[in-house]
Amino acid sequence: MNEHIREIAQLDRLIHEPARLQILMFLQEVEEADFIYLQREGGFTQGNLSGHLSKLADAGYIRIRKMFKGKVPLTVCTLTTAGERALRAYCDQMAGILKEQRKSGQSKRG
Amino acid sequence: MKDNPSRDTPARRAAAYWFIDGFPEIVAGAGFALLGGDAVWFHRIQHRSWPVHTMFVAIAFLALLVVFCCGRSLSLFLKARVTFPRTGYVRPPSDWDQVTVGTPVISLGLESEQRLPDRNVTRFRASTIAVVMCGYMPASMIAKPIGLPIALSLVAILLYALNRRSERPYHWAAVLPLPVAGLAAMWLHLNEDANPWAAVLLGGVWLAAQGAWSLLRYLRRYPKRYPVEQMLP
Repeated sequence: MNEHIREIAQLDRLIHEPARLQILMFLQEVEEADFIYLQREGGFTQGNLSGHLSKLADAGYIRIRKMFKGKVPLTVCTLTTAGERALRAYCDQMAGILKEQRKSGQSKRG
Repeated sequence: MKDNPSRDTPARRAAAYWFIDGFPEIVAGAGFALLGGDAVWFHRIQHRSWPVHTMFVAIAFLALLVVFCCGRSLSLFLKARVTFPRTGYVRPPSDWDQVTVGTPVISLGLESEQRLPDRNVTRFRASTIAVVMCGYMPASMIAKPIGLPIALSLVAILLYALNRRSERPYHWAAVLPLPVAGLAAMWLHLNEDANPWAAVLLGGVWLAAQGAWSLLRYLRRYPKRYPVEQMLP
C-alpha cells in the first residue's frame, strides 16, 4: 500500500466527518454565526447540529457563546485559533494525499 | 435589485445574508433622506432665524450620525427583532477591521492568520453609501436645474457598475427611477443651493425604498419565526 494511503488513518477524525468539516469551513469564512444560520446553511436537524457543535466545542475548535441580541436569545459560534490551525492542517494533509493519489493514478494509466 | 446575488463562497453568502432584510439600506437611506430633506427645507426658507438654523444643524448632525456612526448598530438592533428569529445571525468578515487593526510587524506565530476578507459589509459603505452621497457634487457643479437629473444619472450608473459583481447587485431597472426622479424634480424649480441636496434626498429615498422592497420580500418569504427554545440548544 502506498504511504499516502496510510496517511488517511492519521487524519483528524473530528474534522473529517462531513458535517463537522462543513461547520468549520462556514465558521472559517465568517466572524461568527448563530445556531439557526448554521442549521439553515448546512441543512442539519437541530439535534444533529447541537451534537456536532458540542463535540467541536469540547475539542476547543469552536467557541460557543449564549447571548442576547435585543430580546432574542442567540447561540453564537466562533472558530478558535486552535480550530483554525487544525482545519488548516487537515486541509494541507488532505491536499497532499489527494495530490499523491492523483499522481499514482496517472502513472499507472500512463 | 437582483434576488439571487452570486453566492460562490460562504463569505459572500454570509455577506449577502447581511442585506437579505434590507435594513442596512433602510437605515442608510433614511439618514440621507433626513439630511437631504433637512437641507432642501432649510434652503427654501427665506427667513433664516437662529432657531431654524439650530434645528437645521441638529437634524443634519443626527442624519450623519445615523449614516456613518450608528448605521451598523441600528441595523443590528432592527435585525435582532426581525431577521435573526427567522433566518439566523451571521457576521461576515470585515476588511474594515483588517485595515484598522493592521498586520503585526513581529509575529511569534501565536496570532491566527488574518482571515481573507471577501467583498463584504464594509464595501457597502464605499460602493453604495459614498456613491449616493456623491450625487451632491455634480448637482452643485452644474448650477442649473438640469444638474439634478445629470447627477442622479451618474449616481445610477455608478451604483449599477460598482455593485455589479458584489453580494449586493442592483438590476438596471432598479436604478432607473433615480434619473427619472431627477427629471421629475426639475418641475419643483428648486434654487441652486437646494438642488445638490435634492440629489442626496432622492438618493436616500431611493436607497430606503430598495431596502423596504427587500424587507417586504423577506417577510413574505420567511413569515415564521423560530421558537425561542430552538435557539438555545
